[in-house]
Amino acid sequence: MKPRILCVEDEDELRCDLTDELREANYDVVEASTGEVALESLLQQDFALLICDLQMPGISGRELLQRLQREGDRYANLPRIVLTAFDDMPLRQDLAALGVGKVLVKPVDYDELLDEVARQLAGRA
Amino acid sequence: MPLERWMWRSYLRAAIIPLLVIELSFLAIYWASSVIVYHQNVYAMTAVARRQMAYVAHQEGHIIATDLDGFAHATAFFKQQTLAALDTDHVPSAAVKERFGPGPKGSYQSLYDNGTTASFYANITPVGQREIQKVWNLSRLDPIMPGIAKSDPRIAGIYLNTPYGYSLVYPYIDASRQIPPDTDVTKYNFFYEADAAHNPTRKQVWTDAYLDPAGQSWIVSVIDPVWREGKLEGVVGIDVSLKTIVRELRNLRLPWNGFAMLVSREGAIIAMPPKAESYLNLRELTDYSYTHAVTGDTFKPAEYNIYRREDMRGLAAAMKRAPSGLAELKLAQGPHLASFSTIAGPDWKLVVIAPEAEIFADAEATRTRLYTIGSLMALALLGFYAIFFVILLRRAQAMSTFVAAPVEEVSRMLEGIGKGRYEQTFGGSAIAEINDLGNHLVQTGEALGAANRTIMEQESVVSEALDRQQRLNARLLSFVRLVSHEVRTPLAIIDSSIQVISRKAEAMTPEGLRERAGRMRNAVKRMSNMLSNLVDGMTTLNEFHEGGAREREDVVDLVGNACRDSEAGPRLKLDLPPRGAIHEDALVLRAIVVRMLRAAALASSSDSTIDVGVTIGEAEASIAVSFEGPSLANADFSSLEQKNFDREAFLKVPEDQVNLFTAGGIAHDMGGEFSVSVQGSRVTATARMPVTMAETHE
Repeated sequence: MKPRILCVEDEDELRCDLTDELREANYDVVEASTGEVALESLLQQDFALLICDLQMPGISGRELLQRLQREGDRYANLPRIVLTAFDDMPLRQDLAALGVGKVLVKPVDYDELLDEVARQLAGRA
Repeated sequence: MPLERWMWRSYLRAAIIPLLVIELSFLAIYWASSVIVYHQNVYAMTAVARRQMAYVAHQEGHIIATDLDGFAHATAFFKQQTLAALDTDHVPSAAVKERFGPGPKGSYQSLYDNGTTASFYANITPVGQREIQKVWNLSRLDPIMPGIAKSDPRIAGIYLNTPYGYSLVYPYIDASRQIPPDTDVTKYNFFYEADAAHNPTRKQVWTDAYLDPAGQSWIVSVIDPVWREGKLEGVVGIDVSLKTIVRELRNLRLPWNGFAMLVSREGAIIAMPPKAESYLNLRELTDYSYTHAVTGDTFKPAEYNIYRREDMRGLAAAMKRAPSGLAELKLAQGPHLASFSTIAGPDWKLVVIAPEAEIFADAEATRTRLYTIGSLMALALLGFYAIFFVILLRRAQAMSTFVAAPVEEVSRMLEGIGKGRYEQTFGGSAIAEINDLGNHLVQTGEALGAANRTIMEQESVVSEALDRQQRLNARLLSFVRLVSHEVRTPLAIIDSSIQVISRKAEAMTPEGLRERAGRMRNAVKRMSNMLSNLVDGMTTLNEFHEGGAREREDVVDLVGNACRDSEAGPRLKLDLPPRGAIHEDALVLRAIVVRMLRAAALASSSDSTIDVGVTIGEAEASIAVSFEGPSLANADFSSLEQKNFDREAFLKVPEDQVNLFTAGGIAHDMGGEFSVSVQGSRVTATARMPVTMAETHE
């Protein structure tokens, strides 16, 4: 059974390339263009990994992570990779506190992304 | 230290203490003078007293000597009569013979008193014819002896004593009762002191005081040996009662309440007045109770001898050294001065003693008066200074109140100024310096107030500038972060496409490649637009950053100047009201107006007119720029306010609209409002900014 990954990105073109790469790497990918869509998907399905952007209209990536944190044990074991155009130490510390295992700065190298996805999934297992 | 205490101490130091020192110095000089005068007086009076005492002793001694000389003459006369009576035999009358007969136990004596003498032979001598003849011969003295005795009432008795036991005495005594029949008169002082052994020069001799064995109490005698043909026939003598001598001494007129006494050659006190008794703790022996016969010499006891008295040692030494002189005595009653002189004849000493307290009474009285005057002066000084102290204390209190009140007011003023109450008033002071101080303080407070206001204003300006700078810095940082994010996103799209092409180029169709190229171009275009907006935003920030201090400017003048400098100047049609509305930050308002004009110039055709109008409200100036902008006809300015606050959205604003968005952002940031209305192709941008009215318009 393929690991199911929730990919949240508001930029359509970037999200398409991202999901293509993940699927070609034999993952089951569910797309979400907004935070709201992502929350809905999380309620409906179980995921092995969450990949999300931070800067999004509506519910931002950070707010999405905060909501997962507030759910307690339910999403405690869900690995999280954040894709962001920002990169500074306070942000990384903030995201680590929200259970983010890896922060990748855009533009993202897909090989690196796939390696990290595999590492996160392996760690979850 | 409170002012009152300080002033009081100043008074003490400046006035009271020097005065007190001067007064005390005068008083000390007075006391010293008094002491010196007293001692000088004592010294002078001592000399006078010594001379006076010596003179008195000498003078009174001479008087006594003169008196005693009478007794000596009488004795000498009696001696001559005795010798005459012994020279020739005499046959007395029958009456004389008849009165003389045998007495008790073999004595021979006169048997009764016929108003003349008493005579008797002691039984130590056998009485024969020769002895009887002597009685008859000496009977011729019977009328003489009473005559001599009665010639001077001070004569207590007159007598003749012979070595062979015969005695002839006047006044009459009952010999059988008063004189023992075996009496040997040669053993009595009134005889042997004149005999050959004791008196080889055969002169008259005065005896010490002794108890008269014949019942005349304590007496002294002047005795004279009667020598006839080389043989001592007898000793004649005259007795003088001590009472008489004492009376003489008492009658002496002595100064300083003094007293006198007679002292024998051997130092025995022969006579002294009652006053001397208390001083010498003695009692004079003048009377004697003859309860039995006196059978030998009876002299005064040892304590009557000044040579043996401890308290008279100095006097005794002086008396042994010289016939006259002075000595100081320490008696129980205090120090005394004694003078003495030798009385010629008996060779006695007349000692005159006077208490020094009496001698120096005048000096002491003078000293007492000076002391009293000094004490009164000190008391008066004390009273004066007490009053002076009270007056000065009250004066110090009054002056301290007088000075302290304005000083306290000055202090309150200082405190008020220190607390920021710069407008102070001063009630004034009669003391010029304090008055000047108070007035200067008022002026200083006003100057400080003005300076403080200026500082506050400057602080406000600086604070506002700082706030603005901080806001701009924050905006700049936000902008940079935003640019970083927004640039990375199209970059990520481009990069993603490049990675896809790189990975799958062989598998991609030409159509797919073109689609990828289109994606990348769109991303680049997005980045280009973003960079344009970024440049505009940075320019605005730079303008504010370089703007320096805030400057006020009339809105109408500012808009007019901006229009004059605008690239669309010739096309501008101005509708400006009178001047009078002031905007507090000309830089901000200019940035807004310039962007509105630039948007109008870019969006309108080069031959169209741009209307610029200014409307002055109560506290607001409305600046409107209206132009024909077909490219903006479909632009969405409805969410302008939200976009002004959303920097991400701002960066996505199309290039031909960015000036209006920038102007709106600045207007909102600076407390104004900005709106854009579109009617057809007619676009009207309006900025409403807060203003203050110039005074001429009020």
